Amino acid sequence: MRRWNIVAVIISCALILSGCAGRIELNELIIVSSIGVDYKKDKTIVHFQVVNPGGTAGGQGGAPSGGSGGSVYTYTVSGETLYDAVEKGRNILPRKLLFSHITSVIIGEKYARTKGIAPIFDFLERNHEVRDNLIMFVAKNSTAKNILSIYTPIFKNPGESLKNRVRLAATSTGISDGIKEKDVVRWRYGEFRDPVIQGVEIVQINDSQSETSNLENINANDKTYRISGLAVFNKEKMVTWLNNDQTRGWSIINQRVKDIFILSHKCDSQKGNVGFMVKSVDSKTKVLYKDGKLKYVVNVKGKAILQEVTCAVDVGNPMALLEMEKRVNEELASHIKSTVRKAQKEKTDVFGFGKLLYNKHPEVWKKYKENWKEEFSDVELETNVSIKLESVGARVETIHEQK
Amino acid sequence: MSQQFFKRKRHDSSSSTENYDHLHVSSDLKTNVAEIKNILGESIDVKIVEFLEMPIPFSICYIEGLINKQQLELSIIEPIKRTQLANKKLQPKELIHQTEVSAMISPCPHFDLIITPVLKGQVIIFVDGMTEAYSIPLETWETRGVEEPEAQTMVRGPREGFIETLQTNTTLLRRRISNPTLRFKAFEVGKITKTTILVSYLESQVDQEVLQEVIKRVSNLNTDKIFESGMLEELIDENGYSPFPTFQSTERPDVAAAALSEGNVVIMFEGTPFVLITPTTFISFFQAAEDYYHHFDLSSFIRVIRVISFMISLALPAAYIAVTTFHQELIPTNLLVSLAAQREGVPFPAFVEALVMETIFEILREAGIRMPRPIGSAVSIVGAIVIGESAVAAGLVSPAIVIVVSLTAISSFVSPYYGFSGAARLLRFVLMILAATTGIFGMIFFMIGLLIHLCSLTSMGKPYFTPLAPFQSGKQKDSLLRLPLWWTQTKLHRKWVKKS
Repeated sequence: MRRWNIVAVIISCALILSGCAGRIELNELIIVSSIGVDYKKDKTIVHFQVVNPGGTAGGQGGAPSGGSGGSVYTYTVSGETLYDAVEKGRNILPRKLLFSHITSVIIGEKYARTKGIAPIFDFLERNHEVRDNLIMFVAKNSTAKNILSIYTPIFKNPGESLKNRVRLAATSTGISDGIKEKDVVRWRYGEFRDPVIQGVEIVQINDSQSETSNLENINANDKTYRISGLAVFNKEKMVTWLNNDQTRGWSIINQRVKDIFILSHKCDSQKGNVGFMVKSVDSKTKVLYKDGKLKYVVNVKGKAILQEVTCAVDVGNPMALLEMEKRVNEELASHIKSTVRKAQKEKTDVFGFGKLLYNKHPEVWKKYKENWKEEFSDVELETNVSIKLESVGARVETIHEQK
Repeated sequence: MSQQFFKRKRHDSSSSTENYDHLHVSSDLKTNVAEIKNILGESIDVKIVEFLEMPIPFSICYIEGLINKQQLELSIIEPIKRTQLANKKLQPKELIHQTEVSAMISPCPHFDLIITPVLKGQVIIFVDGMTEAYSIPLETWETRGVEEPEAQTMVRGPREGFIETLQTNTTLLRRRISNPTLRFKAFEVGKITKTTILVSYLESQVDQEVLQEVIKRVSNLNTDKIFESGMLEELIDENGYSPFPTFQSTERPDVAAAALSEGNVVIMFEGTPFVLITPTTFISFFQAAEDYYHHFDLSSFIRVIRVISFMISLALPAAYIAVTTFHQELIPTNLLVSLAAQREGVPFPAFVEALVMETIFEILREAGIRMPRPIGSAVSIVGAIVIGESAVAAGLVSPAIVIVVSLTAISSFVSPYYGFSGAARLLRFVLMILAATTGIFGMIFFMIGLLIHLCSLTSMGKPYFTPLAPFQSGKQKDSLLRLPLWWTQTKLHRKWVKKS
C-alpha cells in the first residue's frame, strides 16, 4: 500500500510539475520555410517566409478554413542584429515561429559583403530548433527580399522549389546536395579553408540566353530565379563570385560530384555543339613538396556519354572519338585551372589545400601556416583529367551524315 | 469485529449444506425418501417414484431433464419389476444383483454419495431393507451441437469448436490426441455451484512443477460460485492487477490439443466453451493456430504484422499527439504542412480530439457487441457517418485524427485473442495522457515501465516474456517468426521429401 502511494506521488509530480511544458498545437504555430537576411543602413533586416498551410496543402475538402490565400507570406522585420530582428518580429507575427522546418537561408549580397556571415552563423548554430542541413544561398546581385518575393510554379512552397532546383542544377554545378549549413560551419572552424555558398539570382524571362544549361531556363513565370555560381568568402566576408564553369571546377576538386553533370561546348572550327553527360567522376588531389616549392596535382577520372552532336564529326571513326575525348579533358582541365586561378587571385583557399598540406607534411605546414593566404596564391597546379568516352548513345550517324 | 462476524456466518452456512455428509442410508425406505425430500426440497424437477406395492418396495429418484426417461423405464424399472414378480421369494439383497439393470451400477452407502450424483444426472434406486442405495448414470440433456467457434475464426483449419458440455469437449480432445498419457483430472469448485472443472495434460509432456501448481491452486480455491473460465482465470491468476492476460483462453480444440502436446496444462470448465491454457507467454498471443496450417513464410509475415498492429493499437494515437504537439520537427515538412492545414479551425487540442474520437469508437464497439443483432446495421451506418464524415465536415475534428483512430481500431482487432487486445485498448488511454503532458519523453518512460512490468510477470510461476526475456535462443524459431516445421522439430526426418 505504501509502495503504491509513493508511485502515485511520483507519477502525479511528473505529470503536474511538468505542466505540459513545451506543448504547442499545430494551429498555434507558423512554419518558417525560408529566412532571408539583408543589410540596409546599418540595420539587419530579416525576412521570414512562412507557410500558409491552407494555401499550400491544396485539396483539403473538409477543413473549414478552406484552401484560400497565398501559399507563403514573407514577413520583414529590422533590428540591430539578427536575433534582435527575430525578437522584434514577435510583434508582427500572428503565431509562434517554428524554425525546425527551414529549408533555406538566403543572404543578401550586400550583407554578405559588408557584414559577413559570422553573425548569421552564430544564430543558426546556437538555436536549437534550426537544422544543420538547411541550404545556404547568397542572393546574387540582389537582396534576399527580392528572392523571397517570388512565387514559384509547380512547388507551392518556394523554399522547397529552391531545394529541388539545387538538386537539379547539380547537372550543371556538380554540387549534388547544395552547400548546407553544416558544410559552412565545418569550413569556418579551424584555420584551413574558406567557405563558399551557392548563389541564387533572379532572371527575367526575356533575358538573353546565358551559358548555363537550359535546364534552368524553363521559365513558367515572368520572374524566376536560378542557381548560379558560388560566392567565395574570405573567412567571413564575401569577396567574389565563381561562374558556373568555375563552380564545376570547385565541385570536382572538392569531390562533391555524386551524380552526373553535363558538359557542352562548341566544336573546333565548326558550327555546332557537342554535349556530354559526365558520370562516375572521381577526383584526387595530391600535394607535392619539392625544393621548397608546393605543387598540387588534381587527378580526375570519369566516364562520359555522348548526348548530342550537331557538328560534322565522324562519330563512327575511333580517332575522331579520341579527339573528342581529348577536347572534353581539356575543357574540364581549363575549368579547374580557372577556378584555382580565381581563388588564388582572391587569396581564399576554398579547396582545403592547406588541410591537405597539413595532413601530408605537417612540418611544412607549420612553416607556411602564418602566411598561408599569400603562399596559397603562389602554389603551382597540375591537372590530369582523363574522362573516357564510354558510349556514343543509341545512334551513330550525325545529322550531317543522315541521308 | 465485522470480519469475525462474516467469517462465522460463512462457516455456518457451509456446515448447514453439508450436514448430510456422514448420513447413512437407512434400511427403511420411507426414512430415506423423507431424507431425500428434506435435502432436495419440494422442487418440481426432483422426481421420486415409489413402488410400494411391490414385494420388495423400492423408490427411484432423479432430476427431470438430466436423464433419459425412456431408458429409465425400459432398462431399470421394467427389469426390476419383472425379476420381483418372477421370483417371489427374492431377498432385497439379491434383487439388484439378479436384475440385469446396468453394468455401471454403483452402491452408495452415504447420502453425500447420492446427492451430488443425482444433481449431475444419475438415477438413484433405494431398495427397502437395504442399507445402501444404487446409482446408475443415465445422463442425457439437451446440448448445443459442435459448431464453428464464433470468437476465434480462421480461414483454414478445423471448423469444430468446444461447446458447453464437458463430455463433448473431452471427446474433441481425445479425438485429436489418441495418446495413452492424456489425462483428465476432475475437480469440483464453488461451494454453492459445485462446478466441475477438468485439468487436462499429457503425462509424458507436462512440466510436473506447473501441473502441481495448477492442482494446488484449483483444489485450494475457496470460492462460493463460479460460472465461466474467465472467473477461474481471475481467481487463480498470480498477477491479478496486470491488464495482460496470463492465461490463454480458446474455444478451439486444435489450439487446446496443440497446447497439450507442448506440455501445457488445459483447464476445461463445465458450462462454457472457453478453456484455459497455462502457462502462457506474451508471444503466444501473437500466434494463431492457423499459423501452422499455412505456409511458413506467410505465417511469419502475418506474425510480424500482428506485432506491428499491437504497437499501432497501443501507441499510434499517443504518438500522433506527442509528435504534433511537442515534436513538430520530427514530421517531414510536407506532411507537417498538410497536418497543419487540417488542424486549421479545429477548436480542440489534439489530445482532446483524440480522446473524444477514441471514446466514441469504444462506445460504438460496445454498442455493436451488446445490441440486438437486427439493429446492427443502423449502428454501423450512424457510426460511419458520425465519425467518418460529419465530424470532419462540421470542423469538430481533423481528418488526420479520424485516420489515426480508425487505424488504431482496426489494428486492435488483429490479435487472435480478444482479451489480449483489451490490454492495449486500456493502456492506450494512459499512454495518450502521458503523451499529451510530456510528449515522447513520457511515452518512452511508459514503454520502459511496460517492459519492466512484462518481464516481471509470471504465468503459473513461469516467466511470461520468455523466450524474449529471459532469452532462449532455441525457442526463437517459433516466436516472432514461424520458421519451417522441419527446423523447429529437431527429430523430424525429411529425407524422403528431399529433391533427388
